Amino acid sequence: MQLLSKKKNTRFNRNKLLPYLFIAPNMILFLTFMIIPIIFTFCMSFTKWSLIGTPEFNGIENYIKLLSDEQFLTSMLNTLYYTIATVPTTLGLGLIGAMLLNRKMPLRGALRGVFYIPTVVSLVATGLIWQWILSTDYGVLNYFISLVGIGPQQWLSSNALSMPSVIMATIWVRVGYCMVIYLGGLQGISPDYYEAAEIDGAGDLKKFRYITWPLLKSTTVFLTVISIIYGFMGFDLFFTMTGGGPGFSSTVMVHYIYKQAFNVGEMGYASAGGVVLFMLILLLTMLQMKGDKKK
Amino acid sequence: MKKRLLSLSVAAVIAITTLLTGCGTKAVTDQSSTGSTTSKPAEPVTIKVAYWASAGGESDAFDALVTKFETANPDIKVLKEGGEFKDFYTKLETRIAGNDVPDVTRLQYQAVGRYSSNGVLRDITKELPADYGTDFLPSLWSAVTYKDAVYAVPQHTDTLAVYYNKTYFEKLGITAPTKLEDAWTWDEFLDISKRLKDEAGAKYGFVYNWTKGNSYRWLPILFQKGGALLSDDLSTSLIDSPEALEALKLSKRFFDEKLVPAGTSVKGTEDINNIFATGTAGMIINGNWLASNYDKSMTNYTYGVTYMPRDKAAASDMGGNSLAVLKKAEHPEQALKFIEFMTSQESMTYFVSNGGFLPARKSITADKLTYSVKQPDIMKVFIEQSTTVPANMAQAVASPNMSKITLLLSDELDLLFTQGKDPVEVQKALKKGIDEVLK
Repeated sequence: MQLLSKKKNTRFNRNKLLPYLFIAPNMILFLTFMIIPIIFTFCMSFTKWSLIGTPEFNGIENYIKLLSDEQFLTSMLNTLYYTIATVPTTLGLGLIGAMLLNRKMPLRGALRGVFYIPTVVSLVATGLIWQWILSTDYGVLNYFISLVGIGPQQWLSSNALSMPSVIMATIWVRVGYCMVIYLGGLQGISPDYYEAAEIDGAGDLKKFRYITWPLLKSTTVFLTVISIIYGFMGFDLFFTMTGGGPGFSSTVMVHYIYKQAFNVGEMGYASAGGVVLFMLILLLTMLQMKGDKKK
Repeated sequence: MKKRLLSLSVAAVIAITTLLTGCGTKAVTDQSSTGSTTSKPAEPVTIKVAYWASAGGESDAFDALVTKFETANPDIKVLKEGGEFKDFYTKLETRIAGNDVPDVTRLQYQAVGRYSSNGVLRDITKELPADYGTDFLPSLWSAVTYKDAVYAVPQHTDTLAVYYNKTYFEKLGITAPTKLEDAWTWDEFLDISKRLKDEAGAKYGFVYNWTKGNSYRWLPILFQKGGALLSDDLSTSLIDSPEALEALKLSKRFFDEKLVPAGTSVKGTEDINNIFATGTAGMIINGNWLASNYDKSMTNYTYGVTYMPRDKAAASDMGGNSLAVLKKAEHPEQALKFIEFMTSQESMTYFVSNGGFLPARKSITADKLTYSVKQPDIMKVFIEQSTTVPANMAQAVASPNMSKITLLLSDELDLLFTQGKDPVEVQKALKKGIDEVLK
């Protein structure tokens, strides 16, 4: 016993330290670039600060101002609209795509790759390309629909269509990701289940309802949480495609916070908005997780 | 015992990291001052110059001038910290917050107010020769002044004028005004726009370069109608005048009468230069820096340039940049020397000729400049137009509150143009909003 306590660098002690050393680099990065900035933002939300100059403490004034800020509330509603529209659609289309691509077919690998590519393209580049496609005067989409006799639509410059346009672009970006994740989930389902069901005479619909869907539940929960977070953090596409307009029809929370921080120079107020966004996403995520555990 | 030691040390690391970068102001690191030496320093002093430049003429001009400066001043070395314009201010402010301050920075006139009022720039009033400002355009000199102190030196200016599709004009038999006194009135301008739509085959009469949030470019219309944004001492807003209402009603007509594309409101993201270059719109109100762009992209048409419309007064946008010394600069003397060199008559002549900009000095007349655009004469129109920038507008645009006012203008003008908001209501909202900002 005495011998062990004197020799600190024994294999036994090194082994205990080793796991911490392995996760240390990642933890340090995570701390520096995630945790600390979040704490900093939280502190900033109680100040008035323009990034240059010194912050002055002003209590919960920023939060009170947020509650009565019509534009902020509109941006919250727009964000909800955007999330509700994109989450079920990307998941649904992703699932259908995954089921279609789950059978043996030529070029299956290439097809899966092609559908996944939109996810890795820079969102700014995607936004700019979609802005060109949807341009009222020289966009390709208006050209195509004119061939079937529909007049040119003001995709990005009308209240009714500005949000749907960004939703369209988002679906293009996200379906591939959902598809790939669902594919993984599908391949985790043993074919024995399907064989047993066939023997019992179950049709395709029954197979889906009683085998596929329940066994994909954790995948669905994961994708729902990720997609909701993604929806609430939507910004790049809005910034490049519509500029938040016309009016405020396509201004979402992150865009509003960005404007307050960098166009107006109110870092404190913008931080308060950021904290509210953070709380909302946290709440939704926790509800999701709880809902998953209950079943 | 070991477990406790480990968790204690991990906690200590977290605590220290949090303390170092957490809330509260950073401790100002004591910068060793470059002590005043009576004799010339043996080592060359390096000054850091933060700026942006677009590739091509502008960037090359910067490089050439810096080399010239270093040759003439062997005891000063220049560390060029250039790049593209995107995120320039965010980077600059982050650096300032992190105490990594450059000696010299380039600033748009619109940005000077924000930095001078926050104590970021050095007051160089006493360090410049007494009559230094007299050769500069008065509007620009007032833009770099804040509360009677000078904080920056104008490097160049830009302004807006009317580019028109010459091919269409010839088809309709219209000749554009060649003298500032003969510039169109707004009614004449809108009539021509209609004719371009009805007779020349253009889809739209014109486009205005106020998209992507640059709503302050609406202000020339306000001044052309005889109105003003703020009082001369910048303490009250004058947006509730009948002239301002006229300006609002006039600009609303652009959209109501479909003379401009619907997607080119102040929040719009459309590529307006493409719309003009492809003949989709017959005219575009845009700046001098686009001339070489149109030279390249207008392959099916030719273009010309004429003056901005005028009603009670001529006016145009104040664009361009200045150079300033930072308050916390390590070598302010050398920094100022660099700025004086860059804004001298010789350097400015070279810079604006190669970059396609307009001179900020009255003494640099059009005949002294050699631009590389296809039709160098058009630059004369721009130079003359740049003298119509109202001093009151320049002061307002350069004031510290302008960024908030610009956001307000973006929101309200967009509502006016695309949401059918009543001009009277817009005027009320602007007055209320601007008064709030000025409080």
